[in-house]
Amino acid sequence: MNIIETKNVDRVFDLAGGEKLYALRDISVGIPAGALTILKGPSGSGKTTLMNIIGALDAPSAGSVLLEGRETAGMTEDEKGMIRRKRFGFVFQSVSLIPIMTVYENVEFALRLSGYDGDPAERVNKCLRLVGLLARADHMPQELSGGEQQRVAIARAIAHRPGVVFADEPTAELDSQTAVSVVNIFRELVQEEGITVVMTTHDTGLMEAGDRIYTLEDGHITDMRENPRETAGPGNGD
Amino acid sequence: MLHLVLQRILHKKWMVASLLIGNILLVAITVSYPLYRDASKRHMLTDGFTNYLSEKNEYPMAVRTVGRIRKGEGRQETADIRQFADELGSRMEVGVREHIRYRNLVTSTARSLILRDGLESEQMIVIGALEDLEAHSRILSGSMCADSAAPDGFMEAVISQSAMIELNLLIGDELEFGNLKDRSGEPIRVRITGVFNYDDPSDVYWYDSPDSYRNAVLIDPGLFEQLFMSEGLSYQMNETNTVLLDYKAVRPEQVDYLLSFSRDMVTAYKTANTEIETPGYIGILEAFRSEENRISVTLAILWAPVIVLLSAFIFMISRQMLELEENEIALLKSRGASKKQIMRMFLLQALILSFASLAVGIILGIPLCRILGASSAFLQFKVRRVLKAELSADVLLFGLGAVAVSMAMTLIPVLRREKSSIVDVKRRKSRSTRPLWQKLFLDVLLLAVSVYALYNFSNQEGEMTARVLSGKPLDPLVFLASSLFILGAGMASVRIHGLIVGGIYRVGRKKWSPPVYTSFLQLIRTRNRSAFIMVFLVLTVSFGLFNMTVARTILDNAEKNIDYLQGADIVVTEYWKNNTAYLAIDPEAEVTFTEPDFGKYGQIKGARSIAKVFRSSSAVAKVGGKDISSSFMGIDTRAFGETTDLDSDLLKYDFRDYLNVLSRNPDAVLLSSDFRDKLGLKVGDTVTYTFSGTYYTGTLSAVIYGFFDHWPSYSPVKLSIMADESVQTYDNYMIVGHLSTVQEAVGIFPYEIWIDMGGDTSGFYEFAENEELRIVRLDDAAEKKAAVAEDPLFQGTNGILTMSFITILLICGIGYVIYWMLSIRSRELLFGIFRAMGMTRKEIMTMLVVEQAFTGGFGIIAGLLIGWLASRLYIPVIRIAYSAADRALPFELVIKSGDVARLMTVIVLMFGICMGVLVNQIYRMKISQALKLGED
Repeated sequence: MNIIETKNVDRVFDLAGGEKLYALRDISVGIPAGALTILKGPSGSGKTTLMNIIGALDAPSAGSVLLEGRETAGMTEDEKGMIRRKRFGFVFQSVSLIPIMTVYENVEFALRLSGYDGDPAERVNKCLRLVGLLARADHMPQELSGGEQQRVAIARAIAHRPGVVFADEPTAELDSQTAVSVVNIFRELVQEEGITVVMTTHDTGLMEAGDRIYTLEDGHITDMRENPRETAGPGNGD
Repeated sequence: MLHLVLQRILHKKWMVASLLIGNILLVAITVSYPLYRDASKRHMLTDGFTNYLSEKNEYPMAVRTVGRIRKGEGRQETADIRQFADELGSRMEVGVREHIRYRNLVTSTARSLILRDGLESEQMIVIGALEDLEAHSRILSGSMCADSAAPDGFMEAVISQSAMIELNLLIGDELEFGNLKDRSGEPIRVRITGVFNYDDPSDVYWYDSPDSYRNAVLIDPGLFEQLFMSEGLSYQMNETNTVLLDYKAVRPEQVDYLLSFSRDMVTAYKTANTEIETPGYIGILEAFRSEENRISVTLAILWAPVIVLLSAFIFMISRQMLELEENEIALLKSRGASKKQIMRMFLLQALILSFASLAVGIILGIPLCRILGASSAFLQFKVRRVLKAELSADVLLFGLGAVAVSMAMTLIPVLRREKSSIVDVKRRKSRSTRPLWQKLFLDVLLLAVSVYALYNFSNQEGEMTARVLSGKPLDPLVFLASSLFILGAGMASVRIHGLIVGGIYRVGRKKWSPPVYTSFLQLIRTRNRSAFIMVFLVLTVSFGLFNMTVARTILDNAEKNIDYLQGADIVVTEYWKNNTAYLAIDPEAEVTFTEPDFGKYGQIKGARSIAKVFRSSSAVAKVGGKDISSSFMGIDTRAFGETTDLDSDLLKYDFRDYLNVLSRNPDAVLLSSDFRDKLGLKVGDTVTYTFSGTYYTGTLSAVIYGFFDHWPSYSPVKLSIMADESVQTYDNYMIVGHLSTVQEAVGIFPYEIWIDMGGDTSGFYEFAENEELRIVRLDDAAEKKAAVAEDPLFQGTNGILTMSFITILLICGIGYVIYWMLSIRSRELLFGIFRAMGMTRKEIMTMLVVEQAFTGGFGIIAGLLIGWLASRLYIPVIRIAYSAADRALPFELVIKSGDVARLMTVIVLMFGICMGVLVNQIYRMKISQALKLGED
């Protein structure tokens, strides 16, 4: 079952001089629930634009987006905001931690926003443990390496148990070993928490991790592939 | 490189514009100090001379040397001092307007050769010679004396009109001086040929009027020299040289030299045969010098805070500009620019800005100085006389000093940044260290010093008053202490701010909604970076309020004192016809004064009410066998109540109630409360008092109906300086009774007319002119107030405080808006993240509003509190500098709501702009784009 679907989505940017740039053209994709979907393509192919539209950060110029069967076009900014804070989690390509908050507070902030009603400390610690950074809970983001920051961002993105986690090039600035460990975290999330993950990447080496892979080129979907997957056994992480 | 620098300047036009405004203001305000100070000094000096001229009716800058030749001695000394007088102008470096040389033989017996009725046959007469007499005089009758002896051996002489009367001489009279023999042993004989008077009464040559020569016959100066001063003669004579110096050309910077020169010459020529009279202008110059000192110090201290604030402003803007430029610097560095090259670039930029500001600032300083000279009250201007601003070396020096300060303020942030590596910068950004002043507890230190100073001053109020009364400058520390207090309290308030915000945050850490929670974290985690803007905001508001209050309070208190001590707008004593001249003939005659028509005063346009007030300053009350000297006032209660008023807080009961009580009994009196407090009198007691004037004395018994602490024109204490420069306080006692009772007892004697003109006294002058009023004494409160407002000290205070206030508002507004715009711009990515995480725009707005409330709101409240507290604490001490002697009324802090409203309007406007920019920025923001910003 697809948790999010797009139908014939265009995203057009107005350029100076009246020209129009089609970042996306006639895109129809489906994001299967409880799976890891990868949007792949070279830079400039439109994958981030597509992810922003799927993640309700941006609106399509034409076409429609269905969020759990509901049309997003009719939603107000605030409604979309509420969906983002409760149902979604985001990991951005660049540093996206809040610099005035410690690692712990960054993760906790997601819980605050979503109105999480469990014990926040327990949940935060669990998420930090998952990304292997519990020991650094009291550090400020600036005191961490790029990879560590990205892992904190993941912990924050999943803390409030969102339905969907969006990760825009989460491995772009990481060395390959760290990149693999980050992707492994996503896989674990999908498998253990049943979270849906949408990730963009241009790193072809990570394709194996995806359950469904869309390839974009010049704003078009050029390929869609699915990796048949056995349910992974426990202890397969890392 | 220049091209690059210019490009950078153009690129950051708003920042550069702010920096330029700051720099120009810094230079303009700095140079306006020497401009205004010097212009004030010139005014003061000229005023000193002209006041002397009008009060004493004497040329204000004269040096008189006397040389005496006695029994053959003193010839050389007289020649020396003559030479000294001749060279005086060039030695003092002051132009000479007139040099009057008068020589005379000592008084000698003259026998009249022509005998007339009533002419003494022998009298004591002086033979003298006045140089240049002919050019400055007019012969009333007869002719000018010839320059050589007449064929019959007579010397021709002229005399003044007074000499004609005093010596009873006529033209043609002949005198023989038997004791004065010429070379051949013949007595000197003089014939009067003319009577002279001045040609022009305003001619300064007549420093000594023709009347001064009332016992002299004047012969030709050349003849005098030939007759009496040739070698081998030993006449006894005096030579007086009076040199009139051009006081209008004396410049303040000459005063020190002139003083020491003049004092030295008096001492140097104090010999048996020579003398220089202590010139009257020494007093003028001394008064000027002590006043000058006081003015310079006071003005400098008034100027200082705004200059410090402007420097802080420049520092802040430069630092922010640098933050914006960080990427650019990194880029330049990565392209191979060395540290030196980058420093040079900044140096060049600072030089361009500073020197552009120097030129504009100095040009702007001149009109600024004129505006200062036109300030009549806080935020009020009125041109009375144009202050002449003159460029001087000092002005340039101050301008260069300002440039140096501004360069330092611009370059210090660069230097600090350049010293630290990129790693340091990152670290600083994440966990900024506490500001240096917090680590050093500078705020606590400043507060301690300022409070200690205040405590000290409060204990030494008497000494301070004495200093000021004797013309010395008030200890500059007094003013400095108030600035230090504001600075210390401002810094401390930031510390307290941290505690308050931290406390509130902790109280509800779990409960705060996400925006509030974020605001608090933002406030706490960036507080060290925002400490500077906080201090700046607190300082601007508190200095604004303090300045405003100082200016208002000092002027208002001075004006209130004038009103109170005078009692009514106009207090006039008319000339009363009387028979006192007759007393010379018959000392026993009864003195009568004719009361002028009182009804005519009803015609004064604008007069609201008029009262007769009889006053005697020499009254004596008998209390317990002791004589208590006091002053007495006889009033008509009804008219007095209509004409005068007293603030109700000055008295225990309403002023009118006192008058009503008094009116019940013609024998009732009201006494000043020292009668009760020092002498133990009570209401209901009887007191016997005597009041007297030159022509009357009356003794009355009266019942005490009440005591007052204050009464129109009554000053409870009198201050005077003792020889040891301590201040002695005397109690003033006062008795207020009925005018009618007094008049019944002693008759009608001149009283004062008190007129309430509603503040505008012009109607009175019109009346006085129409009625050709003969005035013995006139006091005009409006005129006195105008004089206070024109006093360089008051005017400078008003001017500079007004200017500081406006400047502060300006830089506070610019500084705050820029800080916030940059702060928000630097957080665009963060807002993007918040929005991506699902925070609504409203929540982000809430976040910023909370943040503003806790920085700006707190800053304003703290600033107002500190400003008020500083006013409360320090203005009573500062007031001593302005009106040490005028302390009849209790001190009252004056804060005008209109001023506060102005201050608040600007602040609200400033916040409005900030909020407008915020709203605009938040609503324009596209999340996806904001996030991309972070990818650069």
